[in-house]
Amino acid sequence: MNIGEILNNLWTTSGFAQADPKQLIMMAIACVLLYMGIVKKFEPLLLVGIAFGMLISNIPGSGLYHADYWTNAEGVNYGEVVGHGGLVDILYIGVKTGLYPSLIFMGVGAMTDFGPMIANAKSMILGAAAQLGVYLAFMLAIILGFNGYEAASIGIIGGADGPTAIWLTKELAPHLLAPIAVAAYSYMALIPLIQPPIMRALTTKEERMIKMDQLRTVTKTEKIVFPIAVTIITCLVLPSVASLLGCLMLGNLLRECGVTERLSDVVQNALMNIVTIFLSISVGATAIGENFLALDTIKIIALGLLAFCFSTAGGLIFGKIMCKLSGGKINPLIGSAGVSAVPMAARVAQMEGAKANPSNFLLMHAMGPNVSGVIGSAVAAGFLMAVFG
Amino acid sequence: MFDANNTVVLTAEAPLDAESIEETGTDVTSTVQEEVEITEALALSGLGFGIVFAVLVVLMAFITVMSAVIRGGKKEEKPAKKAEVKKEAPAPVKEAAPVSAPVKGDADMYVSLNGKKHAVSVEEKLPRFTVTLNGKTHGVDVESVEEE
Repeated sequence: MNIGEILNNLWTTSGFAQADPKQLIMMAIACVLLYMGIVKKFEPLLLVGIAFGMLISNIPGSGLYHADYWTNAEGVNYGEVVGHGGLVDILYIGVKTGLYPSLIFMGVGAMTDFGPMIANAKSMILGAAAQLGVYLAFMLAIILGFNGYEAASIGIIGGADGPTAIWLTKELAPHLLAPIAVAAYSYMALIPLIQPPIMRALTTKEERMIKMDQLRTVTKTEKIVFPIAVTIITCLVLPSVASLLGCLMLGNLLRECGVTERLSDVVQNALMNIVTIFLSISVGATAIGENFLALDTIKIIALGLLAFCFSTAGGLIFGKIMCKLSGGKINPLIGSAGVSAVPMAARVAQMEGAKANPSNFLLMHAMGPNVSGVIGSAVAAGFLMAVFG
Repeated sequence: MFDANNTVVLTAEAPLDAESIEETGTDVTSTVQEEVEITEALALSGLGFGIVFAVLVVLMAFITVMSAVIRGGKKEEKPAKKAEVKKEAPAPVKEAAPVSAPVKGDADMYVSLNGKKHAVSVEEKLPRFTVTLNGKTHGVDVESVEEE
C-alpha cells in the first residue's frame, strides 16, 4: 500500500483540489441566503432549503447534482439519473415531473378557506387584475433580450406564487429555475416593504378610509361545490393547468367536504412539509455557478421586482375602478391583495387600511382577492404553458 | 421547414404537409418559435391577460348563480354569534362558524367573554381565524380590534 499514492488520491478527490472560483462564490451566496432565511426570517420554510441545496450542490466534487442529466436535448434519461445520479438528482425528479408543485398546491388548497371570495365574488376581478405584472414583466423580458420561454418564466414571478413559478419554469426555462425561485420567494417575503408605497401612491386617504360591509356567511354546500366547479371550468378552458389547479381544488375539497379530515390534515401538514423540504433542496441545487453568476440573474431579480410592483398596481387600479362603480363601497386597498402571497398581501392591506382608519378591518375582505389571486396566477401560468409548452 | 432537432417549425413559407413528415419519420410537433417579436409579445400579453380575466369573470358569474341557487329563497343567514372585541360589549363566545382571518401569531387581542375581559393569544392557522382561550379553541368573527 503506497501511502503517498493514497494521500495524493485523497487530495485530488477532495473539494479543495477541484474547487473553482464560481463554486466558492455560490457557496458564499448560499450562506447569505441562509442568513436571510434564518436571521431575517425571509420565507424561511423555503429559503433555508433552497440555500442549503445551493450550498451542497456547489461543493466541488460532491456529485449530488448533475445539470447535464436534465438539460439533455434528447430528453432526460431517467435510467441514468437513477443509476448514476446523486441524492439531489433523485429528489429533482419530483421537480422535473411537476409532482412537487402540484402536491404543494394540494396543501395550499387544504389550508385555504375560499369563503371570503365566495361571499364577495366580485373580488375575483381583483385577483385577475393583479396578474397584470405577469404579462408586463413578460414584455419587458422580451425587450431585454430573453427568449419567449425565459420571458414567460420570468413573468410568472409577478404571480407571487412559488409553486406556480417552479411548475412553469422547470418546463420552459429550467436553467433559470434557481434565480427565479430565489427571486419569487424573496420578494414574497418583502411584500410588506414593496406594497405600501405603491398603495399610498395610487390611493387617496379618503379611499383608504372606506369601511366595507361585513361579508355574508357562506354555506357548506357552496364551499363543497366551489372546488369541483372551478376544476371543471378552468381545466376545460386550459387543460395545461389541470395538474396545478386540480390539486389545489382537491386539497380544498378534502378540507371542505368534512368526511376526509384525516386526509386534509396529512395534506396540509405532513405531506406539505415533506414536499417543501424536497422541493427547496432540489430547486436550490440547480443554482450552479455557470447559470446563476450571469448578467441574466441580475435582470431576473430586477424584472421580478417590477413584476411584483406592476401586479400590485394592477390590483389597486381595478380596486379604484370598482370603488367608483360601487359608489364608494369597496376599499381599493383590497385590490393589492390580489397578489397571491397568501396571507401576507391581505395583512398588508389590513395594516394600511388600519393606518388610515383605525376602526377599519379589511383583512376578511382582502382575503377574497388574495385567494382568487392564487387561481389567477395558476390560470396565467396555464396560458403561458399552453403557448410555449 | 425543419430545425436542427427535426422539429417542424410552422412558418408562412413552410406549410405542414404529409410528405415532409414522412421524410423524417418523426412526429410532428408544432412549435412557437423561441424568438418572440415585441409586437407578438404585446399581443400574447393582451391575450393572456384577457383570458385570465375571462376565466375569473366566468367563475365569478358561476359562483354568483350557484350561491343564489343554493341559498335559494332563504333569508340571508345572520352571522354566527361572535366574540366582540370591544371594551363595552361583552358577548359570549359560542361555537361560532369559523371565519377565515389569519392574524399574526404575535398580535395580542382582548376579548370580552361573558362580561369579563381576557387577553388572548391568537394562533395563525392559515387562513382560519381561531382564538385559544384557557385551552379551548374558538372560531371568531372579529369586527374591530382595539388595544387596551
